[in-house]
Amino acid sequence: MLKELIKIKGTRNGLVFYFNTRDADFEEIKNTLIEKFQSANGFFANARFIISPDNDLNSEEIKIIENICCEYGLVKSANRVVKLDRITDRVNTQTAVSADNKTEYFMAEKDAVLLTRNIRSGQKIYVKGNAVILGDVNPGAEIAATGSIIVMGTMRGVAHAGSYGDDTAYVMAFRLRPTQIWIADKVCRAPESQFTVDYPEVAKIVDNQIILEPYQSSKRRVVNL
Amino acid sequence: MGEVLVITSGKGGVGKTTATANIGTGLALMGKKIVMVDTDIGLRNLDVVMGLENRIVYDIVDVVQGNCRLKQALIKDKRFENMYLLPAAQTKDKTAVSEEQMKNLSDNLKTEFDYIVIDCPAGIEQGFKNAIAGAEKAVVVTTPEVSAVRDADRIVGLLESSGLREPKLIINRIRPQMVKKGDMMSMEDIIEILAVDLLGVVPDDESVVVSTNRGEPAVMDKASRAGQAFRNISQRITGEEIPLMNLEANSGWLEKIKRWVTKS
Repeated sequence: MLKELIKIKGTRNGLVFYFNTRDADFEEIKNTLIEKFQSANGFFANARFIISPDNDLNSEEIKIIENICCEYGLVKSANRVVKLDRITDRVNTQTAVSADNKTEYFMAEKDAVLLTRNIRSGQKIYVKGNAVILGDVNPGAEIAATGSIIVMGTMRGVAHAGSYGDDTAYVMAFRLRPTQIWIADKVCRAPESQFTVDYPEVAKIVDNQIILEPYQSSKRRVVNL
Repeated sequence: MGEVLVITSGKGGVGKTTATANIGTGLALMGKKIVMVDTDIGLRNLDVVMGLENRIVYDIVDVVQGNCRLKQALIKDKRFENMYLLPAAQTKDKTAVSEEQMKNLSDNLKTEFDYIVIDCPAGIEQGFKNAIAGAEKAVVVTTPEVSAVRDADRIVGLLESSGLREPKLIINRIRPQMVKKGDMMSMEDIIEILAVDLLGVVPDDESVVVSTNRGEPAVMDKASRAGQAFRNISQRITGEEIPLMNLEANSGWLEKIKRWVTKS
């Protein structure tokens, strides 16, 4: 069976195009794309689009593809491509553990993936859905989820909530001391000062900015479930 | 059947080789039959620290490649009848030995010795993989520096994913005075991050430098505080329950009186 060369996914930021450059060359992909647009009868017109960075296309080839898209009435999205968009394909193929044995991919069956261990330096966790960690996330570790991230312990590493662009996602931890927090396409890093607090906090986007606030269970909008 | 221990750290220069030499000698002092294996092929120095450099004829690569019998490569220590060293090769590199070969080697040594102490090279590449291949227990050495702790964390993760659960921790070269002033990470800070059991804390001690240069491990020096710490660690490895030593204890009589006065 011929592998799917082009995948199109709808996200908040518009359509994301994924190109399978492993199983086909550029010409083939280009022709398939044109075919797809022609058979769609203008269905894609006026839609915003992004090209996923998970491919081997060079900048010239990307330009050609963008031009084709524009020809068929699509509008190039001004949004920066979210860094972790590239995981989509791999998560969908349901590979639980990758070859290098350090980066692990999980897919939530219903709402969340529960991990009961410490995530240590050098380990990467990708979750499709929400992630709940019973343990610490140490500096040098990275955790990304398409939904929200909850750490029942100390969050010291890098967290990326809403990695597909969901800016209502949040990061919550008993002790929130991350090196970086990403929510959707926003990023913020820890302040240089040694100021730390000793209560649970939530990081979320308010007015296009990531803010940290004390976690209060009574505020349902904070938990957003 | 013996027990195979690997001493590892990730970061270089935190005291893996010193710890190996001292734990090995400490166990030998207790009458155990032990062998130390240097897996730092290409950068061997456990033999230097042990003062056995001039006795090397065959090395670990000769053994795994069948150039000699295991017995021929084992160097008997000059102080203890029950302590041996299997030196690393100096001319080859880490790829000269495979993980499978290391496993077989450990299995062979296990039948002869009570403890096999493996000195792991720095880094997380082939040398590290070889060193942990045959190990049953792991000891992670770190110093109270963020960089060393970060690497130790990485190592603990790698050990856990390769089946070496619950590694033990040695915090090396701690300086109680600096910790007190808040200038150095404390024992508690390190344990909070790494979340592993503590095997021992070794104070920073100049006598270690002296003993390393002389080829006489510090454990043999009764007056050395680091030596005392390593003796305790060796005892804990054999399953004895020894409380952590008081790092602040200063041996001077004036200090003792001062403490006694401030206490009352």
